[in-house]
Amino acid sequence: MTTGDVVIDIDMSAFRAESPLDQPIATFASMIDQRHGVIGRVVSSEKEPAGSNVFYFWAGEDQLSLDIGHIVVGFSEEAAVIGVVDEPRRFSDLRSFLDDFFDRHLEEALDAEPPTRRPEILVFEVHVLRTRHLRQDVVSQRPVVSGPVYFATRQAIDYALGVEEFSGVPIPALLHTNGNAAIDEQGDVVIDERGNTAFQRSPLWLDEEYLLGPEAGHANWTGQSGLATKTSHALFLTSAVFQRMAEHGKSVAALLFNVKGPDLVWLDKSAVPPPELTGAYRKAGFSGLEESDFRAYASIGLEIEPFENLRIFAPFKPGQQPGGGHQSVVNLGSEKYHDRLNTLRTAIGERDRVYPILWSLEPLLYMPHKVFDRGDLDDKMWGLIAEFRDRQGITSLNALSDRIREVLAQLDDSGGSEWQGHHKATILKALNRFNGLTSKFNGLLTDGNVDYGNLPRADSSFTNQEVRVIDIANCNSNVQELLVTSIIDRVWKMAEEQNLGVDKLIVFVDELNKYAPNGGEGSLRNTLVDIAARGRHLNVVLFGAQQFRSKVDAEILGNCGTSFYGRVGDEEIINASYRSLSETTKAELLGLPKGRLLVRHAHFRAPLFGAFPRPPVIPGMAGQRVFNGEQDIPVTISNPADALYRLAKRFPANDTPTQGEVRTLADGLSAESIERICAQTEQRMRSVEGTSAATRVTAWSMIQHGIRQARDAERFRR
Amino acid sequence: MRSSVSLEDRLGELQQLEELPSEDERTGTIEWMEALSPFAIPVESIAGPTSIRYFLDGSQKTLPGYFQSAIPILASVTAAAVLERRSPIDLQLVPGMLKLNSSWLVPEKAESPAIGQFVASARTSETAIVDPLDHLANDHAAYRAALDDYIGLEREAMSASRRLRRQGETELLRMWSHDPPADGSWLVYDGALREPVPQTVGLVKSFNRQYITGEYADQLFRMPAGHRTPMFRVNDRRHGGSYAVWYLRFWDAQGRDPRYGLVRVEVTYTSELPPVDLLSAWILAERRPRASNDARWPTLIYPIHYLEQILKRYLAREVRYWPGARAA
Repeated sequence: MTTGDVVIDIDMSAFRAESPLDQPIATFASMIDQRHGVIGRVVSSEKEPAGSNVFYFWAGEDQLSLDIGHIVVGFSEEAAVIGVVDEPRRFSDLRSFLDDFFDRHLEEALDAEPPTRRPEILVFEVHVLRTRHLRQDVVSQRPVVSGPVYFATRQAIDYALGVEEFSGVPIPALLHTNGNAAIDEQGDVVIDERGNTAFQRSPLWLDEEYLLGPEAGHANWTGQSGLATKTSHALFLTSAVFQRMAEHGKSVAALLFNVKGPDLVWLDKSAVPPPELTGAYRKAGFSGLEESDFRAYASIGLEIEPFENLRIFAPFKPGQQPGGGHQSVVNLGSEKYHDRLNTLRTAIGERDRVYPILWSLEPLLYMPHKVFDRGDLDDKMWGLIAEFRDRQGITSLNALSDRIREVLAQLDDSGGSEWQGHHKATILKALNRFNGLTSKFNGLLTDGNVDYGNLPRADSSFTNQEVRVIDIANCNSNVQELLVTSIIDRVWKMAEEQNLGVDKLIVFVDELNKYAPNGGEGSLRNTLVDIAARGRHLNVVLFGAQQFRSKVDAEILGNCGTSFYGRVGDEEIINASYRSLSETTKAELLGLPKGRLLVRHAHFRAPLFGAFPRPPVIPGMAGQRVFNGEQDIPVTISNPADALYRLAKRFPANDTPTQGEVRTLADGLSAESIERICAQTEQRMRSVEGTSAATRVTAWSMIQHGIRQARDAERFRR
Repeated sequence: MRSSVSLEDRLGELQQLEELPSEDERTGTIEWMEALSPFAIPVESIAGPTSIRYFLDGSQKTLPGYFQSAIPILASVTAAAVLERRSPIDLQLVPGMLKLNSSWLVPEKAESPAIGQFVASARTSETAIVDPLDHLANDHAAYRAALDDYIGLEREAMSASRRLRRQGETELLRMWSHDPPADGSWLVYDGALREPVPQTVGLVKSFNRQYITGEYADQLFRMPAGHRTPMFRVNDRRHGGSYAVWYLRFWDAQGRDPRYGLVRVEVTYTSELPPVDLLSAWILAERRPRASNDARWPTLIYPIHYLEQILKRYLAREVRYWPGARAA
């Protein structure tokens, strides 16, 4: 105790020299925004002590930019403690609300201000993300001590996310905005286009090995539909994965199911319109990306690139599938199918990426539970189907129908009632049910066998950076479920056989609650559960999305290493699926704006909010208007010859032409001719793939040959 | 490590009694300066900022340090400061206007070798020593008798501590009076004025001395909230100076003690009458927000409460690891 009179000039810097936190503060200077300065002080009380996972601090009155979701740094004796700001509470010394009421009671107008306003402090709860000790070899869990709190720098945020310990490629998933100012390379505060101080933004990184396996895997999006967040972000993240993987020489592909309108059929069209299409984009209701989007892409180091290697697969429109009559084999390679496919991408010059899906009976015989109603599928029916499939070698409806008629005639002749142990009534029932299959799976199923020729198939191996869209938006629910189930099953088998063709495959399934409902059964659910459980080891990861997380199989969610939450409704958020989130976080989710998500990742100790720019591709509806010639926008805005150029680029060689060269050479050629050249060239190129002929033939030489032939033919017709 | 409760916390009620001023401090008669009818004058209610900008208060802690035989040796820690209200939400201590004092309270004249050693040791280390029985220094018998009364000595020590706190407050008031703000801002001092100070209001919360008697006392006790009495003049014979004084009722006392919510306001008397109505309105406005965490809230204004909270934390920091009473 010092004694005697002391007159003190209030200068807090005098106390700083004695602070026990001087060493950690100095050591971790690069982790705290000292330019912004102290934003508050840690408080710890008997009722609400600081712990390893949670601490509290009160904020300086002038810290108006500080808010929920910001990342801050406090200190323990020998460590910097980085955490995310959660619940704010404003405290005053008022004992009860009534005290304030009686203060004004009968005497003062409600808007009258007293000369002194009762002091209030804003106390924030902080959830600890990570702690960094002075020594590299010490993992500290010690709580913060009373002392200053600072905004975290990008370096601190990266550390908190565990980036330096990532075993895989860091993939930017969201952009976190803090309350401190962004500083440019010259050390100046960044000013945005509105003249305001720009806030510090940092990518929220995901570890590739925890997103795409093998350490952990899978991602899940939940949130109300209509806010254009789940699919948009899934596309943004897929683009980020593609770019980052390419930079590190790893191959990756994605399989997507388009279940709504034109959502996923224009993924090869950039969100940034080429100059000649700016007006068309605007007319379609899409003004392109905003300045903030460009800044966001720049700050996370991503290019705004559409998915160039896009393939769309669609079944035929109902009743328009080839193979009517009694055609034994449908040769799809020679079919003109584009006009008949059940997809919204129909514009000539844009549909060269669209391929058909057509099934014979054969695959259906392996999944009778998916084909027939449960009531029809008794043991007798199962046995008969197995008979046709395994012993009779039936592969088409035509063959089946012929065989059954033969059997029935045989029974009629002999007067018998059984064939191969199967009763005549069962055979008649089977005939009846099989006859109904064409209409049940209308557009997908044909009577004969199917020969794809050299056409790509929806369930074939993938190529690097390929985005494969299965367009089932306009199909009936029988076709939808059958296609999703069979394609995912097939992909899963390919994965088990290590025949995916790429290092990693992303399977995006929207409406996951429909395909893998909580407490549900079914082969697709089982496959999805299997993928969720084992997929990360077999290089298949599930990107699932749904409106109601609580309605999705718990095993799938439990295996998800990364989860994103958009706006969630109040009826949904009370479910157990959200119990690990704090009440403040839940309240935030109730009103989360478009373009903002909460992310949980295997490396993060606490969930984090972040925003993301618009995806690098044009929104489906706008793409439909611009590129499919809808809503008064002429389809001629895109040159049909560009399909030839894209094809040439897909098979790169020394003679790959420029876009101008292709357009010049194909000038005047009809769209139908160009489409035919495309189909022929692609099939030819696929047929020589892996053979010695591949070295002698280039796509461009074949295209040139096709153009010459087409000109001759058109001249001849005239 | 043991902590120890301060005498103020332990003997709080006694402290109240000690607030009684000496009988001879002020004249027993008063001189009315305004008409006595009406006796209860309504004070205009105002909202928003006032010209009261500064607030002065002090706080103290008296702690057991050592004991020798039945003689307690205590420590006094006091703090006094001026708070400036820069805006309704910005209240700051005025730089250079915070006074801290730490002293040992030792009955130096006790004929005890241990006490003598303690005093010598304290002086060697330039520690301040205050004798709580100093006022009995010339009465040897009374001094000796007081040494045998442990409780009495504690009270004396607390009074000495209070005097040290008042010294600090008085010094700050003098500093203020030497350089009052040019903008005409006023200072509210929590307590009775002891010497003339310009632009300063003394606000007395306790009702330990009754200046108004007789029929006017009856009217005073019935005075409604938001009213004041006429102003009267009081002379301080001990310290010198004259003061313009009036009472002001903060809160309605219906159904309560008649002194409830009653404060005494004092302003240095000069030839120019103070703006009693304006000052009353300003002070009345200061009752909000209520300092409801303090039992004295009906007569306490919030900035003084605010300042007390700051000072108490200063004191708490000073004595955080106080070990409690030890044998000397």
